[in-house]
Amino acid sequence: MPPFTRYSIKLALLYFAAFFLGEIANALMGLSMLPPIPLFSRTLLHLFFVGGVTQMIFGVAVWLFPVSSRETPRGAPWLQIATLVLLNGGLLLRLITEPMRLQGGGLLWGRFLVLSAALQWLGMCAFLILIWPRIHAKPKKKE
Amino acid sequence: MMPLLSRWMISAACLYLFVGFSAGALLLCGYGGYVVTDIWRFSALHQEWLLVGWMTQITLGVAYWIFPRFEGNQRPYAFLAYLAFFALNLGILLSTFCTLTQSGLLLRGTAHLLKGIALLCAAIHLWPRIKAFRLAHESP
Repeated sequence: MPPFTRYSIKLALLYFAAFFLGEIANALMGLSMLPPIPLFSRTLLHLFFVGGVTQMIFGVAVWLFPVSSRETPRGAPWLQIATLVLLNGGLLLRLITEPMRLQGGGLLWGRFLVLSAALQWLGMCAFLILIWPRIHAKPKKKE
Repeated sequence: MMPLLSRWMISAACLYLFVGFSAGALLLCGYGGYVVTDIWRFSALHQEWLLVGWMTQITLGVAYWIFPRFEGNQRPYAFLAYLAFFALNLGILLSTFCTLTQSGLLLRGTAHLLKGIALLCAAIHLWPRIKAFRLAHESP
């Protein structure tokens, strides 16, 4: 299992855990058993679907899909690093900034939210550039 | 080697990932106070493109490729998997059209029906392939 896959699957599992802990915290806040913390369902859902499910798919795809070249069989390492850093950086930034913005925070929080969107989008683009040639890789003839 | 249908499904899933993430990024810019006019109608499409177009389709594409095959490297009833691909994408495109044009219930219902047919066809195709791998030295 290549390093990208190991990191992305471990991160995905952490996001799954964070989502369920967040949902438990939301339920406890509903029962007044916890002081109110700004945890929005939409933010938590994105931890599950983007950080968990999508990142797990990314990791398995990089591991499993046909290799496209002998030199870099799983794509350029810098693209793998860019995918991980940008996607997770953007998602963590969203986790902090979205509740602040939706609770009436100023335009500065809004700018951070836009930055978070841009980071996640760039991370997704890095993954697509990484994986697209491997979907269309031609099988090599045996010598 | 990845079969043609899997390549089609995974390529289509990647396209939906791109448009779904792009719509999501614009929505997030909207929440940030940088409202792009009329972006809110893309909220439902953002979910549709990513949940059905990306996650469901890449799962089905990889399953078609990698699930155990039968003797002679056969994938029985492969036409059902092709039907699933066409019905799923037609359903998503019809849903997109309905949301953008605010069409009525009939078209929207047809879109859901197509997606339902697609998932049923995929399930019927994959069901017999959920079995133990048989190694070459094992007797049948």
